[in-house]
Amino acid sequence: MITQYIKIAWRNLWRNKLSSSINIVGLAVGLGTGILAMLYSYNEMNYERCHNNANQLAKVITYGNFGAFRQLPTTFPQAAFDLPEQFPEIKNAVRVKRISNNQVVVFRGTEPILENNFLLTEANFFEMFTYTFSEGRYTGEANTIILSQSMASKYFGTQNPIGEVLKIEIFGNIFHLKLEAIYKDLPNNTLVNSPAIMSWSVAKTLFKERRGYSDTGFDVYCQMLPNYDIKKLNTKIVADYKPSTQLDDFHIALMPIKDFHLKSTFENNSANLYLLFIGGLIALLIAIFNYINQSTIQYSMRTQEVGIRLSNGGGRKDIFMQFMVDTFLTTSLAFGLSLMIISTVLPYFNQLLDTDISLNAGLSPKLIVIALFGLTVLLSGFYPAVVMSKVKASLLLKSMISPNLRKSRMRNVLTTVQFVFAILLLQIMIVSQRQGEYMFNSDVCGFNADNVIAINGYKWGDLNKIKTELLRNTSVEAVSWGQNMPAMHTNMTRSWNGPNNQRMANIFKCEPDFLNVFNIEIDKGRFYRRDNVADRSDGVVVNQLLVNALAWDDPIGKSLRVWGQKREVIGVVSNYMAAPPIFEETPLIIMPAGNQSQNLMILVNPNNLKDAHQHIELVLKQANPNYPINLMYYNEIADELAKTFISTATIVNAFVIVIIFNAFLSLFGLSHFIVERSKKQIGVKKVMGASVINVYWELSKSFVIRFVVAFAIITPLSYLFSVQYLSTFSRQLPLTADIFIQSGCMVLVMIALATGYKIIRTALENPVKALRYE
Amino acid sequence: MIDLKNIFKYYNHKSQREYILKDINLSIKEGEFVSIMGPSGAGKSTLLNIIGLLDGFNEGEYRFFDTEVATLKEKKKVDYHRNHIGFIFQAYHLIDEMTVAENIETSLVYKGIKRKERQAIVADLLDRFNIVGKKDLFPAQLSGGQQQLVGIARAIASKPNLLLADEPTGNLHSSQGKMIMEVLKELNDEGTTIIQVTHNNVFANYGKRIINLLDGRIEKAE
Repeated sequence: MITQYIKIAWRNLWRNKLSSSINIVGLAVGLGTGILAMLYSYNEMNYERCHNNANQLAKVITYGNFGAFRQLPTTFPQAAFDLPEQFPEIKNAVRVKRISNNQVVVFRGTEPILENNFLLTEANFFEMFTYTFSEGRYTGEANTIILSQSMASKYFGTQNPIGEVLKIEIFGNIFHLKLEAIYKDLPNNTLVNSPAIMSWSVAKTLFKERRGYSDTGFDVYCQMLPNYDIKKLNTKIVADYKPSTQLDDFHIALMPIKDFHLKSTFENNSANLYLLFIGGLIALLIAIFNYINQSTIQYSMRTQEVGIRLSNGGGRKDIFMQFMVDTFLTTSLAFGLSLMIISTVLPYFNQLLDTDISLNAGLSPKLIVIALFGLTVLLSGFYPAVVMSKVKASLLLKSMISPNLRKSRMRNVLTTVQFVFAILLLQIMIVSQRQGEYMFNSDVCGFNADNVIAINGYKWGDLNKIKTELLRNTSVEAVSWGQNMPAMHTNMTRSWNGPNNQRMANIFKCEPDFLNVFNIEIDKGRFYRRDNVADRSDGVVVNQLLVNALAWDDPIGKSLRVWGQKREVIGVVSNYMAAPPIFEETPLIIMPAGNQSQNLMILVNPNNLKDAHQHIELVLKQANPNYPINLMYYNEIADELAKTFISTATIVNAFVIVIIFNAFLSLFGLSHFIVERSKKQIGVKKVMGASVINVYWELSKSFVIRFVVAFAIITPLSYLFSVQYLSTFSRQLPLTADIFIQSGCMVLVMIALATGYKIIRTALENPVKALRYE
Repeated sequence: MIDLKNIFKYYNHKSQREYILKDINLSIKEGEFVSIMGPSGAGKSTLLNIIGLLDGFNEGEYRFFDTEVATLKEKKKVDYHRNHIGFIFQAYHLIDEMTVAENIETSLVYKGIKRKERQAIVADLLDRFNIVGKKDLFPAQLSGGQQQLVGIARAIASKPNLLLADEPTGNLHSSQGKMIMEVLKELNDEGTTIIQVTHNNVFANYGKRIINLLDGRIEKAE
């Protein structure tokens, strides 16, 4: 019987190609989004599972007053000694240093290559974390290194590299490290994922403070005895363990590594997880609604068949089963298509979210995918199948067989829900996009970073000399250096304006031409002058917020204590945004920089980029041939830093597209069907003198009404949501009515496009033809 | 076999009650061939639906094979449809997506008969109605008369005792109609009870008994 059901379902699918493809494509897109979201959630919730001891491992985090932060994800190295000694529950502890920010230079022959995220650790690290060595043996002896497989093939190709020596430069120190072993690459969902691990002897050269309490930049991991109680242990640590430092309110605690990724305040990962989880489910649900809508309409053409089957001895259950099989077939095809979509999208997705999700990763993800498929079949098939199994057989024998599209409350609700989500997501999308543009508009943020190249490096020597060299080429318009770049600097301090000051200020050093590179305006007074020695020794530039904070009427010439030294205010900068937009606005203190810096900023002529790039590389290569030139534009760096923001925005946009697409498909199918069914009616109306506009309005009226209802329901909610969202930024987009009107218009246009073509084409047809139709 | 007593069927429209059938008393014995006649809207099809257990009634008593229909379970009704009642329709009502052979075996599939056996039954029926060559065609590829033959073949595939035909010749021209009536007569001669609704006086006379229906009442029963 099932084979016959499948056969019939297949033939029906073929016969109604349009509605079948609407169903399949819609479900495929929804399923694809849902599956992707579930796989992502699975990946996120399984952080650190690749380590056998994951349940017993914890990272030490530090609490205290660290300027802008109250918590650090790292701690001081002494913790690795004190904790296992004082607390018997802690079996083992290890110090780890991570070298990030492109600070490692590895030489492949003579070619310097920038690398990131190298780890420095002690031998007992491998007793705690699970690494699989594919070649060689790890001993952790002095001046050795182990590489991941992908790293080994990058530097040594296919030859056996064990015993080879790698030349590595870190912070200006040269190391020759012997390659001891090669380990299998770890998945992305672990904290200790790294391309290379160097022996602890390297740390001895790089860091003077490898014990003690003053450097809080170490990762310390602890291994506990099985079945330890993290809460009790932490209470004990906070109560009994007092690190000997001057800082008040300073203590450490353990955070299980499995919680670190999602539950710590250091990474905003749970937001993305919720967004994707909920968004993915909504996208799938909308696709299912769409399917229910389409299939109930399509099935209304098959009531006659049901009647025939009932009169031939088919039971309600048989009918129910038959239509479930129908849904099963459609969903299976959609499932196949969705897998194809996923395998195409997955590389981009992984890149966007820094994950390595795959469809072939183990049994559990596969089960999740299959469960989602089963759930989709049930949810989409159940209602239509129940409706069909309740069809009255006697309808069939009524003289005429013209099953009419009856009004359905269910369909009304489903369409309205689709509109609600479409409008909501569109509004969020517009708000987040406009906010992104708004806060980097030069009028708002107070600087313009277009065509600014930023290069980091060191051992350049006197930068004044490099500046003169660089400016020789006309394609270079301005050169400067400083501690950091606009909208990226957070160095909060309380040591200004006397010893009792409690207010935080952002403090920052730069060279005088910084203003010209970034086109920052001076409101009052002037900026540093290169030739003015007095400026350097006792001048200071502040922002208007600081002037307001101290209630100065005329700030120029006022004296300000910075870091214990008295300085004279020479100028006030405009509303320039120094810290990232998600930081609260603070007073700003700009100090003059010396002749050395690791951050060079160059404004180039956009019409002559190639020339400028060549010239910059030439000059810098001469200054330090041993450091690779890492030429990047400010905007690229900003995008990199704002990666979470951008990836979140991209995800929202993808959901908007998926949901709008489904709503469009659903409307298209619905209007197509309605028009097919009302051809005769349209013909009669035209004979009676109705215009095309009349006919169009008549048929699309119901959609427009549902749209208006949806818009009225969701806009106030969306407004509240937007206010909430914007409050996380220091410079907020003013919420104007046009944002909401624009989203409404977009959905209306979509409705018009989806319904218009078929209706108008039919309305334009010769009515006589339509009347002959029956 | 069929015993209808004081059957009423009506719809309530706001405050008004619209009667479809009024006080129908009818009994039909096994092996009979009854023709029901009457103008459009007289309630012929509704009566047939009630007899065929596809529709309910509001008042009265209906005994089918000595069972009271009003208390019949859904499952039992399905069983009757599978084994005892066959339907033939004016518009043939074949399922468009199924071939001739698949249409004929519809009720056999529901009865759970094995494939081999089904094929044998279908082959016999195709042979009997001379449509062996049309076996794998779809309904749309057949003439009206051929479609109705398939409809009859489907109705009798599970060897029902009762055949209900709702204007079986209504959509056919007279020569095809006559052929269909001959087939029905033959089936009746073999022992199948037949109730047909018809507008055609000539075809009505194939029945051994004619019942005239007007405005939901039996006008005249021979």
